[in-house]
Amino acid sequence: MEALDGIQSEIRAADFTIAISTDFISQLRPEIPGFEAKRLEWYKAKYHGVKFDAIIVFGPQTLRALVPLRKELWPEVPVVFCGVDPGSYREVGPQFELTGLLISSDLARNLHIYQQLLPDTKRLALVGGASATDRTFNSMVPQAMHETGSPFELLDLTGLPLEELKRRVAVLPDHTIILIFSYFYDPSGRPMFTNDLISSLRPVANAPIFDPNDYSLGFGNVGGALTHYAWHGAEAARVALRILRGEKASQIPVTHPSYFSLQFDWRELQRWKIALDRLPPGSVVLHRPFNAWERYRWWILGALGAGLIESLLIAILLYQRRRSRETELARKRAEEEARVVREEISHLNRIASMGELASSLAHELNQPLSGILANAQAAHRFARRPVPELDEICAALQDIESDGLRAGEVIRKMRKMLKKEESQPAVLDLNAVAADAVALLANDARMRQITLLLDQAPALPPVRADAVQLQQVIINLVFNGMDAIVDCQERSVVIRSTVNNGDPQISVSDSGHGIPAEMLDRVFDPFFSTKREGLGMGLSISRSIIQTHGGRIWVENQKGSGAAFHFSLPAGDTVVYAGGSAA
Amino acid sequence: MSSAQPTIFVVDDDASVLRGLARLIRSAGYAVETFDSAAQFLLCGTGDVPGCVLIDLRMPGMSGLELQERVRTSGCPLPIIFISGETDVSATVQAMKAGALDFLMKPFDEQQLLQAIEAALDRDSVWRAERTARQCACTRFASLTPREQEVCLLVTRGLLNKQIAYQLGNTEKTVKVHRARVMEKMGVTSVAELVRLVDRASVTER
Repeated sequence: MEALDGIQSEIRAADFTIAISTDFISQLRPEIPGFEAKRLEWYKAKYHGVKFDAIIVFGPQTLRALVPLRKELWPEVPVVFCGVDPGSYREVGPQFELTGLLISSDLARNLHIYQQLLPDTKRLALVGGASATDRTFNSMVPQAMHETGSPFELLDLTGLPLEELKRRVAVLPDHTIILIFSYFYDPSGRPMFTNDLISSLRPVANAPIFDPNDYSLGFGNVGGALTHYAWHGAEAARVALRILRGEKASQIPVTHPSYFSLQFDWRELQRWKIALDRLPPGSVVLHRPFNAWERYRWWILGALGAGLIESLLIAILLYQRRRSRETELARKRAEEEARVVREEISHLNRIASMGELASSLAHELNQPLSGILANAQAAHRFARRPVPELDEICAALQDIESDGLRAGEVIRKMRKMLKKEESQPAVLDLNAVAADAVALLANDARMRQITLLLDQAPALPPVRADAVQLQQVIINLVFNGMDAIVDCQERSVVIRSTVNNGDPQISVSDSGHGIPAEMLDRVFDPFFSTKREGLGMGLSISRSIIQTHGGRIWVENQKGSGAAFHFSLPAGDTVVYAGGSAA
Repeated sequence: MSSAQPTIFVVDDDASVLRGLARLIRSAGYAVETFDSAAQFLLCGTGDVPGCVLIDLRMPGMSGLELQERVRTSGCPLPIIFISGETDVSATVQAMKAGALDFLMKPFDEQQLLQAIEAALDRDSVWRAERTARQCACTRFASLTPREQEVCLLVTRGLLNKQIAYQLGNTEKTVKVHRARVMEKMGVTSVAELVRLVDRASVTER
């Protein structure tokens, strides 16, 4: 449950202790006579004497089921919902102390993306369930196709049982894509999970499968502008935290944020021969396959490495003891001074790269501001009409609110980046650090018409490091990469994570002309720059950050084209890192 | 001329700006159609409705400037207003040179926007009238026989009947007959009017 991950991580990060209790309200066999009454009895017994401060509910069916339960069990407890579509929310209607986040797929954008990925596509086969809910959702697809003038012909495969579907998707005509939209129940009323459905269709289907939800990425979904359930969960948790801090649910308006993540599955792209340059700018490519050695090398080497590190350590200790006490003290002082200078410079470098980022940040702020202004003025005009148009006004206010949140998010990211702090090592997942850095750069890349490809190895060994400093290094490297390809036809920068001899490694490679051989040795020197406006400090600071962390940074020209910068950090503590990049 | 209600086409890749703009324009009583990319706009087309296009200068994929070029060379070009988040002088110059009507910096207020739209719609109706007139002139010119067309073009070059007759190897009398038929078919009574009409049809001598 991606939404649950989002909810839990957000609640755990709160500055006060909260106990979380999770329940999956049973949806099974609702056709049994007296099902609801029986369920109510069961919940009464289960939660007898338990008092909640807030309830977060995910999904339209859960919300619908919760309403009667709550009336009996928790009439006063505020409820925050997420993952609920506007239609279902309208059906449930206004309730006491109920607020939350609505969700919907961006069909128009996805249809456009599918067409960009596979321009020869002629048909779209719609796969969907048989229940009334399914039918309501699935009817949005032809509607969206009509509204966006989509050139695809619709092939209706809704309401079919799995076996029949398997037969049908195996013999689809050429130039067809499969869209799985809503499949909650099969024709016999059996509930179906999208991931199971996709996993069973993928091996037999003769056409690529698309699903606008992020949870099915990795099961056979090619990708697109995907609904990001963890984000919605986290947002709902933030609303719940506001309520726990004393705000009234009834005073927090229901919002309908449009937040999607552009994600694609590398294996599916390969299978359907979709070139990476067809992906929309800012796309993230996941699930690059690894063979067993690559995937498990870290574990295999981990055992060998322990002995090796120990003997190295002893060698270093022996070497150290030979130094005289005075030189030891002098060295410590010098090291301390160097550390202060390094932090100072690194802060300056962050400010410098913020300067580079500033124009794109200004743009990022300008967008929500323009939205807010236009919506406020529109609301004003609608309000001044002889008969004020309340629907339009409410919709405008809602957009203003989500734009406000969006602007806040930009500021928060910037503040985090600018904070001047001493290094704060923590156990980190480099994949998450890289993803954060890429998120900061995504807009800049988009504006420069450059595609950033994030290609991440699953389960990187954790490192003990300072997240902001590592982000700094990645940002420096990506900026260099983007600068290197300004005049190139193919414009992409790949940020790849791998496991190299048991250590996590990040590689940033560009599609530029590479670095002249005679300069390769000098790129990390301070004040060495090939850029006219460059300070020549970025790479030297990056190297100093990586070395402080006990890692290694190097550069090489790739065989095909462009330069590749790599850094690896020693695999960190024995602390097992839970969670990680799970969707 | 089409009497359909003017439609404002808005192309912006930012969903929330797009919705905000559409709402604002709708609140001023115009019909609005929105597109989140240049490609989508081109795919859907505008039909032959009066209106104007608001284009975000910087979009991923096809940029605003490329889209402007495509709209400009299309069958029924609509006036273009650019919107942009940043001052990009060279892009602004390029856009204005290519005939953009206005250039609004985000965030802009409603007065700026609505005035720009009004001016663009005025321009559109002028363009439309011109296009209709040109169409009409072309149709009339096409109704002339090849010989009459020759005579017509020579007349508009200011040649006398005598000179035309010499050039075409005809008698002056025949030219006079042709000339009268040209004036009649083109629906004009003076050479000055004829010159204007031919000029409008932008007919050039082969």
